[in-house]
Amino acid sequence: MSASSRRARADAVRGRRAGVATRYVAAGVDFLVVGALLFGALVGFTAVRYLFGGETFELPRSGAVFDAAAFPVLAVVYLVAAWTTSGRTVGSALFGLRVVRDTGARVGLVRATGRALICVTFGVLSLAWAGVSTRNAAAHDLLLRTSVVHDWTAARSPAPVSVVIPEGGPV
Amino acid sequence: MAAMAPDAAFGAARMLQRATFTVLGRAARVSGAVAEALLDTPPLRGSLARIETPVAAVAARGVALRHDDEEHLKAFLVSIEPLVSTVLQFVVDLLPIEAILDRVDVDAIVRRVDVDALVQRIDLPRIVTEVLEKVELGDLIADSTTNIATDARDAVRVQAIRADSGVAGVVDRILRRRKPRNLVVPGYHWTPAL
Repeated sequence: MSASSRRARADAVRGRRAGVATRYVAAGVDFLVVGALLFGALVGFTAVRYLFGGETFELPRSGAVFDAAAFPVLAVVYLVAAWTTSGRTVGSALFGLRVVRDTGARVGLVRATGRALICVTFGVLSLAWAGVSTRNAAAHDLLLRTSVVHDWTAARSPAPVSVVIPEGGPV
Repeated sequence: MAAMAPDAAFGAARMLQRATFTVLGRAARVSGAVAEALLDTPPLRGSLARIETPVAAVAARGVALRHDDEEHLKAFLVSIEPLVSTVLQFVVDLLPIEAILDRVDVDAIVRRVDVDALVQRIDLPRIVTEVLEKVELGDLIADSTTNIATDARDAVRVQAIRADSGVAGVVDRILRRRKPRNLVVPGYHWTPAL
């Protein structure tokens, strides 16, 4: 597919609210990403501990509190960091989505934190409302006045190529 | 007898011309040798020095005349070039080239060529190496890989949007909605952070 037709398709959907199916799949990707981050953090911690005098290379045996809290806490941090900066998590970026305020502006820290807490706690249920809402708004979107829009960034045009013709060569 | 007259006349004239040229050539050689011997004798040597100046003037004049003649000849050749081209073109047009080509058995000629020996004479590895050095293979692979990945990603996105429309259609039909969903965020303007 040519770059121009890609750009045309991206322009056609830009700024339209995404539907429930896309958002569920993107959320699933983010779930996997947070899991991978948590696993990576644990392996990294283990590696550092082993390098600095540990005897065996094995994952730390964490307590029940850590087990229960680590994933949600990391998920909230991950979501807030993504939404307040680019508006995209990894899953959103993959599906060309962006979380914005209803005005179209960037989500602030407080709003993003509130949204992340709801999503991590009741996300699966509150997102279902996007299938019913006349403007594809999940429950947390209605509560915090946010929207998830399509924003396909068209493929970057290649950088200009500079050609150096050696002297005496064919012109 | 009468029919042979022109040829006989031509033959006689040519024989006479050749004989004349032979005699003249010999005479020139002999006179040159005699003149050289005479000029070398003491009484003539002084008078030779006296006539050297006028001879030099005549020689210079001769050089100039020869140069003029060469220029004239060049100009003449240039002027007749179009005419020669036209004549040659006319001759080429007259030739039945297609008919000549039909009579040439190209397959037989090709069969006589030892292709294997020819291929063996070609240093293929060197050529391939040179070509690969000039082709930006890395960029090429990167570009095509990026294109494939982008196409796949776009295909997934389009499928997801179709699924969205499907779900929305089913829900809206169950709820007996008539109006389409309001999906446009008015004045969507993304301002990147930082």
